[in-house]
Amino acid sequence: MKKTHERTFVITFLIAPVITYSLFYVYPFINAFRISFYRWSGLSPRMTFVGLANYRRLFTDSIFYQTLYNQIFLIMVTSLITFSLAMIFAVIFTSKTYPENSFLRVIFFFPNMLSMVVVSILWKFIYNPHFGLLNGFLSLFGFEGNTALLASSSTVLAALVAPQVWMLVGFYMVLFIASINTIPVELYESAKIDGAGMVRQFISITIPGIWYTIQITFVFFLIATVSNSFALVRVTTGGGPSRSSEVVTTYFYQQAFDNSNFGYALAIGFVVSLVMFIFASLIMKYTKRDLA
Amino acid sequence: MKKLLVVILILALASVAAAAGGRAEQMRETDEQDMKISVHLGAFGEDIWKQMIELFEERNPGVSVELEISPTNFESLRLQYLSGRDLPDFHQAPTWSLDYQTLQEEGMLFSYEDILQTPSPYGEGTFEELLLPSTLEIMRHDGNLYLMPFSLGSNGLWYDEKLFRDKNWSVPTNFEEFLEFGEKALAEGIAPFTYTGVHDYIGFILYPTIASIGGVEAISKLNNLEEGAFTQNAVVEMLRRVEMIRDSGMIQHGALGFDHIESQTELALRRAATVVSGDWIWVEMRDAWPDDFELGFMGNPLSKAGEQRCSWMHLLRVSVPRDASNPELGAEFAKFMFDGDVMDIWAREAGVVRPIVGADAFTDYLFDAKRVAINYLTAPDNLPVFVAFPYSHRELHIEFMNHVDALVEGVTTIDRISRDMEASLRRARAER
Repeated sequence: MKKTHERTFVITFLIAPVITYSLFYVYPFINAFRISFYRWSGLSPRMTFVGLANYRRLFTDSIFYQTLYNQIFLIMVTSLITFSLAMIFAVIFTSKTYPENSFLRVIFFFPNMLSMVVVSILWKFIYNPHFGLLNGFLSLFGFEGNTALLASSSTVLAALVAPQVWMLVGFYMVLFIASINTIPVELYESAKIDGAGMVRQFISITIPGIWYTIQITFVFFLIATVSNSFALVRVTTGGGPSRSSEVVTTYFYQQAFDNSNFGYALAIGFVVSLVMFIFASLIMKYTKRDLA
Repeated sequence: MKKLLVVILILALASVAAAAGGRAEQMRETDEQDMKISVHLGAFGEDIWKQMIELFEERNPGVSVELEISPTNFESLRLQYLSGRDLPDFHQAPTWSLDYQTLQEEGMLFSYEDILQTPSPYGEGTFEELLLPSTLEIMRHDGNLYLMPFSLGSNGLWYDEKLFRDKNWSVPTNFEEFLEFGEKALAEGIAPFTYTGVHDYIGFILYPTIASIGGVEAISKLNNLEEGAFTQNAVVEMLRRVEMIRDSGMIQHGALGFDHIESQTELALRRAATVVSGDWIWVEMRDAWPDDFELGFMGNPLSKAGEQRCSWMHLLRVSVPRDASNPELGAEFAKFMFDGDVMDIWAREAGVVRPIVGADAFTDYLFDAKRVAINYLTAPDNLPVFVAFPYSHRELHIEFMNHVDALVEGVTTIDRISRDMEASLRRARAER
C-alpha cells in the first residue's frame, strides 16, 4: 500500500517535467533530425527530401572539420586553463583567511555577471592593434609593433581563449570554494600531524573531497564553451580571418540563416550534438569514482 | 386594427432604416481597408515612416496603415513567411538580413508587374518608364519584378579630402595612381588602405574591378555559376592587384581583424587614408568625425588606365509578400514611395534617392559626400555595376571573400583560390 502511494506520488511529480522535456527537447530534437534529410530554406513550408545528401556533404566538407577542430580546441584549452586557475584561486582563498578575501572574490566573480556579448566587445577593444590595452601592456616589456592577434589566422584562436577564461574563472572558483569548505577541517589537521605537505593534502584530501564538483564542472565547461563561443566569435571576428576562428555553432547559424540552408544546418547540428554527447559521456565515464 | 396598422408601419420603417444602415455599414466596410507594413528601424528611423503613413492615409481615405518597426523586423518576417500568418502587406529590411533570392525562387513574393503598367506617380508615362531600365533588368526574376528597387546607393573607397589637401596628395583615379599614392602615404606613416576583414565590404571594389577587366560578362559568369568563372582572367587579374597592394604594404596592419566600425574609425582618426564602405558611412560615423573632416568618395581606383571604370551600385529593395492579406494595397504603397512629394521628403530627410530616370532632381538635398558618391556612380565615364552574386550565391561569395582575406594575409595563393573556388562552384551547380 505504501509502495503504491509512493509510486503515485513520484509519477504525479514527474508528469509535468516529462511533458515539458518531451515537448521542448525531445520533440524538437527528433524533428530537427527528420528535417536534416530534407533541403529546406526555412522560409516556406516547401521541403524536398534529399535522403543522406546533407550528411554526405557534411562528411566531405572541409569547413565543417575546421570548425569542429576550432570548437574542440576552444573547449580543451579554455577548460584546462579555467580549471587550473579556478582551482588555484579556490585553494588560495580557502587555505587562509585574508581580510581582502571577500573583495577579491567579488572582483574575480564580476566578469561572470556580464553577458558574453559585452565581454566580447570589451576584449575586442583590448586586442585592438592601434589603441588596445594589450599593446600598451606589451610595450612596457619592450614589445613593439602593434600585435594584431585577431587579424592573424595563427593567433586568433588562442586569442579567443582569454575572454572566456576571464569570464568563467570566477564562477568556477566560487564553485570550488563552496565545495572545498564542505571538507571536514579535521582531515587536513590529521594529515598535517602525519606530516603531509600542502601538495599532498591537495592531492589526497582536496581533490577526492570535491571530486563530484570537478566531474560536473567538466560537463559545464563543455556546455559553457560551446554556447559562449557563438557570441564571442560573432562579435569579435565573425569567424575570420578566412574561417580560422569559425566554430560549429557559427557555421550552423551561417548555413541556416545566411544561406537559407536549414536542412544542412540541422545535419551539422545533429552531428555536433552527437559529438558533444559522446564527449559528455566520456567525461562522466572516466571521472566516475565509487562512493567511499 | 388602427393600432395594428401603426405597429406594422413602425416595423416596416424600422426594417427599411436597418437595411439602409446595413448597406451604409457594408459600404463603409468596402471602402475601409487595413494594411500592415513592416520596416527596419536603423536605416532611416521611425519618423519618416510615420510621415509616409500619414500621407498615404490622407491620399487614400478609408485606408488605415499599421506600422511594425524594429531593428530585427527581418526575424519576425522570417517566421511570418514560414507560418504564412500575419504577413505584412509591404516590407523593407536590409539586403543582408533576408534571403530575397529564395523568397523569389519559392514564389513567396507578389509581382509588381501589374502596377508597373499603371500611370507613373511622378512625371509622364507609366510607372515602369519611371524606373531606371537597367535596375529593372537586373531585378526581374523570370520576367517578374518582385523586388522594387527603393534606393540608389554608391559604395566604394572613401577618404578624407582635408588630409589629401594638407598632404598635397592627388586623388587616384586608376590603379597606377593608387599605387603611387600608396607610397606617399606610407612615407607619411599613414596606412594608404584599410578595410573590414570581419565583413565582406571589400567586395564593393573587387567585383567592379572584375567588371572593369573582363566586362559585365565576367560578372555574369559568376552569377550563372559558369565553369571557369573563377579561373577567368578578370578574376585572376583582380586577385593579382590585391596581391600587389598587399606586397607594397598598403593594407593597414590589423585590418583583417577589424569590423566595419573599427576600419571606419581608422579613417576618422587619420591613421588610414582610405576605407572601403557604403554610402551610409557619413551617418553611421557622425559622432566620430573630427570637426575638420571632409569625407570624399574615391569610388574604385583598382581599374587600370584604359579600362572601363566600374563602381558598385547598391540597391535597397522593398517587397510585398504574395500571401499578404492585401498585397495590391501593399504594391500601391510601394508605388506611393515614388510620388514626387514623397521622394522629395526622402531625399531631404533621409538622404535617399530612388533609382529613377531623372534622379538628379533629388540629389541637391543629399549631404555632400553622398551627392559626390551618387554623381560618381551616374557619371558618363562610369559603369554602375549591380552584382547579384553576393546575394544570389551567398555561400560562394563568403567563401571567395575568405580566400581574399587569406591572400591578404599571405597564407594562400591565387592558384589555390581558383582551384578551391572552382570545386565549390561545381558543388553549387550540382546542388542546383
